[in-house]
Amino acid sequence: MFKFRKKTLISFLIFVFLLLSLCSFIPSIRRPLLNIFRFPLSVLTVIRKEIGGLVFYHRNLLQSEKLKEEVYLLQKKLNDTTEVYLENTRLKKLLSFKTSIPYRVIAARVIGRDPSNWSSTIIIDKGSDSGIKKGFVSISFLGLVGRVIEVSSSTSKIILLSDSALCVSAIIQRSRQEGLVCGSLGGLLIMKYLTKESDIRVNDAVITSGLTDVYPKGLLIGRVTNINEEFSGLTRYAVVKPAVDFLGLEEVLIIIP
Amino acid sequence: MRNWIFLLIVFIFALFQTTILDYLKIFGVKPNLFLISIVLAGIYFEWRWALFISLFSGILGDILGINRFGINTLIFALLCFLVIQLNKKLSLDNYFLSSIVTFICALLYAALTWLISLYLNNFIPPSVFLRIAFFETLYTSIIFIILQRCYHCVGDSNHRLIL
Repeated sequence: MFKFRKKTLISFLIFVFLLLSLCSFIPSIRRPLLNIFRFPLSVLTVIRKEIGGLVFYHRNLLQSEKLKEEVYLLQKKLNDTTEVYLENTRLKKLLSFKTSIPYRVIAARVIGRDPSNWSSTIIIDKGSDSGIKKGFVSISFLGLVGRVIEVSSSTSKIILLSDSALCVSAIIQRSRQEGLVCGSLGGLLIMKYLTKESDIRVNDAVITSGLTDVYPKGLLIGRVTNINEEFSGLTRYAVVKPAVDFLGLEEVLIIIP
Repeated sequence: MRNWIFLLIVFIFALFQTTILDYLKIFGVKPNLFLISIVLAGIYFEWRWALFISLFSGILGDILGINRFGINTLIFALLCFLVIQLNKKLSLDNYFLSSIVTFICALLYAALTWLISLYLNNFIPPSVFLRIAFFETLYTSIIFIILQRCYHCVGDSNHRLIL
């Protein structure tokens, strides 16, 4: 159907060659260019937030009332827990337990999201100037968010747990059963490599195992919603609903090890 | 002047693609404005400018995305080249034909992205691929029709922007 003129084809091939050369020789071009987007993306994020506030006003109002009730309930629970925590600390001291080092965090605002539908990332307004480095773990108040994969001076990109390229070593909080939680580009996560005899139930909490140095132990990942057998019949997998709403993320915390 | 305005529009599209467009997600999928801009460029602009716009769109996509730098740039340039060639054979200044071309381009883009992901050891399950590819191609084609109409509204019969 196509009859390309020799000249056109040669021009296009030269164009592609130049492009490939550019891509292979200057991979670091992305970082300084990403800084340019910081200001316009921040402005648009504010506009987006305001539009969201206006459009979802009624829903937000109902949600706010519901959350207020929850806050009162949780405050009461927190008081009780503080007592238990203090008692636990006292007993640990008595037993000379090695306590885990509390980590330092940096708060950052989400200013952009992945432009394509084929990966799941966010752009935040803090970068190497704030002490963020590639590989740092990102969390929210609800649980694990993802990992920093690219850092420029004033922005960073975080790959979310929902991305199929990211897997985290995890355990079931109740039974301490180990598995690997991976993203699926959808709203749910998959916990793989569970043995057939594994003690796992619907609504079990899934937390990071701490087996690798990358993710601190005990970060909440989500809750089990479904358990199925793999096609081979050798292992099982669990469908996990993430604790964090990745679509509604506005602020994140970056753990500084 | 028209060319520079279109470049500015592509830049605004890039900002929308990463921010506001999240509100317009259907089944977790948003339309690809970069793809729309390169098809529009391929149809209405001179081939050198069309390729330049595709290059610009690709670079923006690569900066904001996480794929290896250059993947979007190459795919967009290739798709734009196909649109330019097709536009020489058929008159794509027609809502029906141009939306079909957008559909095919979106499908090719999805397939190429999936294959590259596989090559880079990032396995996306076929069921997820099919779901995203189907909704993305359909959604992008629908948005393309709307934007093409807008383009015609602001331009005269020769598709020159009224400045």
